[in-house]
Order: sequence, then structure tokens, then C-alpha cells
Amino acid sequence: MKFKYTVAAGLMDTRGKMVKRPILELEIENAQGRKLIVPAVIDSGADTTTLNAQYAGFLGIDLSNAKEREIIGIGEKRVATRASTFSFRIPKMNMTMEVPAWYVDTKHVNILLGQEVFFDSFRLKFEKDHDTFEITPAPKR
Amino acid sequence: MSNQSDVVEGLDLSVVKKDYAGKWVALSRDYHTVLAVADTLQSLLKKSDTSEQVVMQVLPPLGYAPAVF
Repeated sequence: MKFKYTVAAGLMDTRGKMVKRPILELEIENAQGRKLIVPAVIDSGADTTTLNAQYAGFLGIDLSNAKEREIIGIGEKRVATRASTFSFRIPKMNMTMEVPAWYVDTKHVNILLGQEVFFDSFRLKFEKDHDTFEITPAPKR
Repeated sequence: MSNQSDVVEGLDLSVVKKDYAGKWVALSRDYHTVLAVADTLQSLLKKSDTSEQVVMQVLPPLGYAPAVF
């Protein structure tokens, strides 16, 4: 299935053009059956899906005993994360999946869909030249 | 092969203003209306309990690049 890139509101690139990102709508649901639609950036630069720790609270994931590990971004500082899983549905594709995830307590991350499991599960084609990206379930191996 | 009509449109995040950076926002399902703004996801969901809503942490309007080593 093909998706259009999403304009990152208010953000220009070095040429003064609007920045666009491959954003996919996900649906998450907690144990009480409450559902939310959440936008997630497909990020080939992220080793593992990384998301804001506040989603763990909504999903009822207890991170207090979760394995801690550090990640780095472009800055000098390491950032502590807690490892768990992240379950979601892709409504447009009617697909449900669970991926390993790092939950991070920061104001600088919403949801980044990273390489581990997610990129193994789909053929992803980034076709920025015509403003689309394509997601195709990978054949079973 | 998919044709042009099969392409899912990008999200319209134009109502998400840079003043919301660092906040959590709830948007209507069509992305046209900001339903609530709060400092945490928990407080946001107390303000807005619509069954179908879009929720996100608003990032600062800055570029992004992962580390390279």
C-alpha cells in the first residue's frame, strides 16, 4: 500500500521547502479497550522502535523492572530507555503487530518505527521523488 | 501494481502549531480540530475522552538526524 509523505508543520529544509516525513497512522489499545490513533515516523535510522515513555502508562506497561539501556542520537548525551514491547494496529492495512521497543522519557520523541522486527516484516520503499512511500508485507521465510 | 487512486493521503498536521511544542495534543479524527492540549498524556486523556481521536507528543519544529558512527 502506498502512502503520501506528511508535511512537518512549520519546518523548512535548507532550500526553504517544507520538510516531509514518512508518517504512518497506528491504532493502540489499552487493557480497558480504549483506543487512540497515533502518528508514527518510519525511521530507518532507528535500530529499534523508540517511543515516548508516556505511552507505556496508557498501555499499562510497567517499565519499573524493564531492562534499561542507553541510546544515542545526534547529541553528545546518552539517553536512558526501558526495553519492552509495543503492540499496534495499522488501520489502513488492517494489520496488527508487536515489535520490541525502547521507551524514553523525553519531549523529543513521539513514536519512531525502527528497524528491529518492523523492517523485517515489510518491504519498505521510500519514493520521495514522487512524495510516496510503500509498505508491503514481506513474504514469510 | 497500485495506481495513483490507491495512495493514502498524508496527514494534515497544520493545526498543530509550534506553540504546542513539548505538549501533548488531541486532535479530531479528521485532524481539523485541536480537542485538548496538556503537559502529559495522562492529563490530556482526562481532558479529552472522545472515542476516536488522534494523540501525539508535539516535537519542537527542528530537523532530525540520527547518530552516525
